[in-house]
Amino acid sequence: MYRLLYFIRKTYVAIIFIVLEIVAIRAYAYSTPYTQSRLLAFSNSVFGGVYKAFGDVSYYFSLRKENVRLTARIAELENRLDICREMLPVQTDSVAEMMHQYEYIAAGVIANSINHPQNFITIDKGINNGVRTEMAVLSPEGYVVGYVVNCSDNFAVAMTLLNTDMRTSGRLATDGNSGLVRWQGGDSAVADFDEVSKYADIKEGDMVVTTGFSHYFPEGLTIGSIESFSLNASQTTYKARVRLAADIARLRNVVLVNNTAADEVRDLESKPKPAWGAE
Amino acid sequence: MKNKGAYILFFAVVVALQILVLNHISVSVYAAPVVYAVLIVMMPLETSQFAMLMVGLALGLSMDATMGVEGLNTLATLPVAFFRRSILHLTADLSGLVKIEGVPSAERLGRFRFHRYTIVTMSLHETIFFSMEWLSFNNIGFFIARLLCSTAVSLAIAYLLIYIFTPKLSCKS
Repeated sequence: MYRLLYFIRKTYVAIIFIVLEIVAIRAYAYSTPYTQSRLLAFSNSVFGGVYKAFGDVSYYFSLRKENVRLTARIAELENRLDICREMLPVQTDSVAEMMHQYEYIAAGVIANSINHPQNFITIDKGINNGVRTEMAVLSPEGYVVGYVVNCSDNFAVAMTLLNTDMRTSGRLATDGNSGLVRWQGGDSAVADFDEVSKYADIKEGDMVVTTGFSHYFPEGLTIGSIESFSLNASQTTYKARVRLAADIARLRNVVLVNNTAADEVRDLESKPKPAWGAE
Repeated sequence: MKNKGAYILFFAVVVALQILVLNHISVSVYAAPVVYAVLIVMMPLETSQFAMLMVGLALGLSMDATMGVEGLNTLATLPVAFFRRSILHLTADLSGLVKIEGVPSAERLGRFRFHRYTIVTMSLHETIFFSMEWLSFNNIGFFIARLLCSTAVSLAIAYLLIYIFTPKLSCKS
């Protein structure tokens, strides 16, 4: 007994260290993107005001550049609108309905990380501003950035394409063949575009756009352009490198997209399907 | 510990610097400074192993709660805190000191020994931190470059903090 007590007295710090280290490793091993975003949301509710103050100061110094860019963007959108008006002289109900499927909210970025395997951005709009989880996040130019994973009353956290846990489907704009876009760390401007059919007519510079298969992103949004490609080891699919269109590292403003039909589609998909031949 | 107030202030400064400034600076994907382990470097020489462990735990939990990662900072900080005394003996050879107490500094330990102790402690923390963050054998070249650059930047900032805070921590209140 005395020996046991002596042993514990001599080694209790080491025992505490081992127990704490095991708990820490376990906590880290079981952490998921969801728990990470939950912690970030908590952190934002505490430090959100401070982040916003820092963001406002740096934003002030970039206003001139931002104005020039926005003016150019307005001009470009006016031109597109004119073309659309010419193409659709009579607006049918179905077109009007389609135009109302997506709602847009402009927001500012108050915190952004690109240095970690799992990167997120913090947005200065939350539930009080109509933001909800699973909304698509686009750059002001309309390029894919990510989607909202968590909201508090006044802030939201979005997972960006620069997150090794994010997967999204993309297709070649020219050819229509689809594949999987994912970032595997390293260069913050380049992602992988895998599982593209070996029969695809793929070329360097081809645009990769969203497929519309997911509930997050509308169809046809630019993800990036093909930088290089090669057949995989088994010669069955193409594996390409995509230069991302959105400059996520320098993101100041974003546009959030709400798919108003997402819940309806999800409800429909979750309903039991009739078996073949059933009366 | 006679200067608890100065150490509490140093803890607050190091945590705030990491959370509010360094975590939001994106100089390069290769350089992500993690400097809060400098607090462990600067703890008084006479600090017991148990007290070091508690300081490491508090530091790790504070960083985890605010950086949005569960356990990563704690699991990197605890070994550094636990083995700090061994690192000190291995790198700075305390046998020549009359009294093993006070803030570790170039004057107290000798310039070369103090630098060796600081570099080894900070590097150990950075290595554990980035290895656990990466958790992959992919892009090993990128990982090594990121580890080396981040450690170099962290050490530069750590030395700046040491330079500023050593006189304040050494004051006897």
